Amino acid sequence: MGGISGLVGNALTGLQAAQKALQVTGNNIANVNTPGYSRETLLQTPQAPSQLGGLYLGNGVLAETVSRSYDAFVQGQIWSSTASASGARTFNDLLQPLVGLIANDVAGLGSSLNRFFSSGVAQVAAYPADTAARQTMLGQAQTLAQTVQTTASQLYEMNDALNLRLRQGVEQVNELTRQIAQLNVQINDLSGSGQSPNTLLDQRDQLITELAGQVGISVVRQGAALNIYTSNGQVLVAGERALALEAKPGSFDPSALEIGYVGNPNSLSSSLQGGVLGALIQFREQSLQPAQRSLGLIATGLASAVNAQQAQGLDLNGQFGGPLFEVGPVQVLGASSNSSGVSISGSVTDTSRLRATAYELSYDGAAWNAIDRSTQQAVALTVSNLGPVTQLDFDGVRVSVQGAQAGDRFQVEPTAAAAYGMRALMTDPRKIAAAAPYVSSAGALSSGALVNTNLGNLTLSAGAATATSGSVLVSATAPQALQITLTSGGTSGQSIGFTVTQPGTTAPILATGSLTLGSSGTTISVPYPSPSPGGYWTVTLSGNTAVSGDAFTLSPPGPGNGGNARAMAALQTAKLLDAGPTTPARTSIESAYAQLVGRVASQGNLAQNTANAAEAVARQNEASRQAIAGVNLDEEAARLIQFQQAYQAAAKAIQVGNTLFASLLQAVQ
Amino acid sequence: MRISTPQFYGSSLTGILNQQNTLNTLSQQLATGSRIVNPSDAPVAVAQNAALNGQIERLGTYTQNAQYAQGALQLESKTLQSVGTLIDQVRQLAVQMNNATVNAQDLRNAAAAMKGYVEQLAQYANTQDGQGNYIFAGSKSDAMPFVLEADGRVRYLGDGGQNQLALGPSLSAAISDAGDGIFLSARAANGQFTVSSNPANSGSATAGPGTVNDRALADQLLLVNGTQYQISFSGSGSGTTYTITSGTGGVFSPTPMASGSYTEGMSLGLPPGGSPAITVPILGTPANGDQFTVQAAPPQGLFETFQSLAAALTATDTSPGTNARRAQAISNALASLDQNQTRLLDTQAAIGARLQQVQAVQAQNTSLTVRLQTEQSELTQINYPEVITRYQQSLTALQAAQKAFVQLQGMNLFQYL
Repeated sequence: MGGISGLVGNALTGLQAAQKALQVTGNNIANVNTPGYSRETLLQTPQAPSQLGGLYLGNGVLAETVSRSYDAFVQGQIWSSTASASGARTFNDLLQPLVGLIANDVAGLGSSLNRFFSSGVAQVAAYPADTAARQTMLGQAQTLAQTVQTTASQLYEMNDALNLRLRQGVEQVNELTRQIAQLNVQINDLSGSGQSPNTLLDQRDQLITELAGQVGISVVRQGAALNIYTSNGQVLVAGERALALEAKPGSFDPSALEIGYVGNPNSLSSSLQGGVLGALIQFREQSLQPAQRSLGLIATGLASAVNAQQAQGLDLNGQFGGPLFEVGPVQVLGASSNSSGVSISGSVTDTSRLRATAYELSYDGAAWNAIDRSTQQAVALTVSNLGPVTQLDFDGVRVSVQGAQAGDRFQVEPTAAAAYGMRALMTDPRKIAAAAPYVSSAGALSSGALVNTNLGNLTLSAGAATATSGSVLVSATAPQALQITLTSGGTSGQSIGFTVTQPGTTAPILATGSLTLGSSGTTISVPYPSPSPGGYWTVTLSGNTAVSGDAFTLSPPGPGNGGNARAMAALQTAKLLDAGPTTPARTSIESAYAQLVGRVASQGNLAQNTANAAEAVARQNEASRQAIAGVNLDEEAARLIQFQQAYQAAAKAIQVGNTLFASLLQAVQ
Repeated sequence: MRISTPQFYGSSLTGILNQQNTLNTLSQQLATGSRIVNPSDAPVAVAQNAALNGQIERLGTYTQNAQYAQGALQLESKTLQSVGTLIDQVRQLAVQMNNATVNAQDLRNAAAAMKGYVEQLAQYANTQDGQGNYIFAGSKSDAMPFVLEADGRVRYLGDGGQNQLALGPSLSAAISDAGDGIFLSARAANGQFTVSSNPANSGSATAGPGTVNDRALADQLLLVNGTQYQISFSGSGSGTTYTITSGTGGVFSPTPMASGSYTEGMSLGLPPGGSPAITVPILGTPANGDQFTVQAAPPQGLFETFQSLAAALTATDTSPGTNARRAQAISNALASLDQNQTRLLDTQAAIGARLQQVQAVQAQNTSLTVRLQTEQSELTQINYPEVITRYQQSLTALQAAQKAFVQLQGMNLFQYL
């Protein structure tokens, strides 16, 4: 075409192109705040010229395509940094309440623990006969048990909330993967035309970004479709198919939800990293469960030490003290795939050797294996077969099992449930065993009165509880009153004999012994009643001048004796935990608590820093994406003017063509 | 770099929110004075603070215990001082009565006074503290430990327990002493042996209290072997002779160990020979058939000493034999009072040592508490000037960010269209 019609035709293409460009600009302005929207531009190319009279004359402009400003690399960065940032933020958000709960030093565990020992036990040790002090100690014990129990139940609630979020997260993942698969189909269908369906592509990218917020993914392009895998290669979207996930009860612990494919018993939980789901799993495994176990270990250590001390002393009724605290039991959870008819139970045998971890026991038909779940290391088991029952001993725990079949597996949680089950059992202040089982006196009891006619200078020490027997073992049990009578006399260097009888009697003789005068003395032990608490009350007889007939009395003390309460107060700093197979305990209750606080708080610190760093990276990536794909309104305003003027110019050109036509028509009229 | 509009708004907002977050933390720190608003901000300080809280609270208990221990020990010490005064009064009375010129009325008055002293002693021995605990009852602090029987004897219903208080992690101090040790267990006479006169003695002779020459031998003979010596006199005037026999359990061998003629004021070594273990002086003139028995001193506490003195004062006739027996009994009682006084002073010395220890520990605990509290405040307390400065800084930064945002968002090309 040439001449005037060429002018009009070309101007028309310009008019149409400017109109389209204005439309694109309008769309950009409209989507300025649409997440995931990529700024679009109209790609214009000149139309192929036509040769006319030896001249190549242009044929106007062609609005070839609307392209989006997009960088696949930056988008990939966005996906991976979204997964990290969302994961780190979620982890931090989950962790901070835990930090506050554990490390709260005003109303928290630490101050309850301190108050139980300082204003409870220590007061009873100072004023053993004072009922008010005893009542206060019981009150403090109640508070302590309640604080531990409340803290544990808050941890359980965190787990419940976590399960809820897991379910929600899985639903969101399923919804997102379903939509992505659909978009894969649509995009595939529309891509055949040679024009790219920008909006759908943006939508799909945005959905993938949202998916990455839920779980860490990797994206692989296959034709027009994007296939999506979890970070370690499990398929979530394959072309037009989305694989649905579900949250289901854990194979051991139904309260710990696991994530897997629908209809597939295997768990994918450990392969989920990043995103909300990854953070939830990570929080449960690395923070929540360890905190539960550590808290349980502290509760178990405290309860068993205080109860054992109670059992070594006498209450105001002259009885050995009953337990003051109770904690939850050792949990043994069978795998859901286990054979029926297997019965299993666990108990703590040695608190000092307990560790704040979980174990997995497995039976292959011949042998038992144990794995520490936190280190994944094998644990040494002592297996003893007692008839149909097999006893497995490891790390201070004893598991008794009957009827196990090959392939059976169990999870053993020695301390996880302990804190939640903590209760203070005592209500009667008289039953606090503040007194030691015996008081040593010189002289003999005669119808209730102590009569001391001793001539020699031997002394009987106040005594202490010991694990092993001294050189003379009395065949009686504490707190039976006993009399030690010298059967011969002597001076330094000589050896004398003595008998142990009930006070005021000469028979039956409960023990005989000898003492070298002037030496460090002879130890005399009276066993505690069996089975609990075991051990001996041991006193030392020493001196250098002995007279036959001199007597000493071991008698249950009156209310003024606070010896056992003093020993109980010392438990706060006594090393009670963390013993190895051959090494003694290294950690006190107090420092176990400080360690827990320190560990949780530094996890919190790390999580904060990680979240901030990950967010900074995500912001940086988003800035890069915005730099390429984001809409700038000033820019669009400039474009508006630019295209408006192009439109006006094209219209003017048409008007000029029109005028030309008119002049021509006038000329030939 | 190209800045998109959402990017501009987003990053401006992030900046403002971050500043607000900082301001929030700082203002909480200012409000509470605590550096640890969020435990995650200072994990090490939080863990150390947990340990410090425990230590400080424990020190508080130790300090409280030390105060209680001081009170208890001072009460005990004061009571024992009163007992010492009582002993002095009794000694004075005994010295007054140990006089040939006393008459029956004096003796009766003295015996009545002794009865009062015994009751007073019982009252001291049954002292109660502010909580109503008997301080000399050992562990049986809820029951009166010293019970005076109708026959004048005393029964001790307490035990040998010493109540203790924890003053430090591995230090505890006794805050009481069992009453039997203080009031019932001092040895009679000179603490080693007693010389008693036969109730049938009619001469004016008294013997003892005597001295120990060879402690080991005396212990071996008197304590371990239970050897007793009997000194018997026969004849009269310058022809008086003594005979020493030995035995155990009040049965003496008929074969004398030694014998000789008696001169007034002579000392007899026992056992007779070159190196006697003990020496017994004899004063006055024994009558024919008078006997003295020497044996290991049994425990004779204050109560029994008071009783024996009271008993000695009840024989009110003034025959030479009675006078001599009374003199013998009073001399024994005086020696025994000395033993008890010594026992009392030893106990006082022990209490003093414990009080000193308690005070030293308390001073140490106080300074340790101050040190730990300083450490804790350094860990957990904010430095006000620093935080206020940072607060001002953040405030300025926030205002600047807000101002910049408002100004920049006004710069918009659409305004000119």
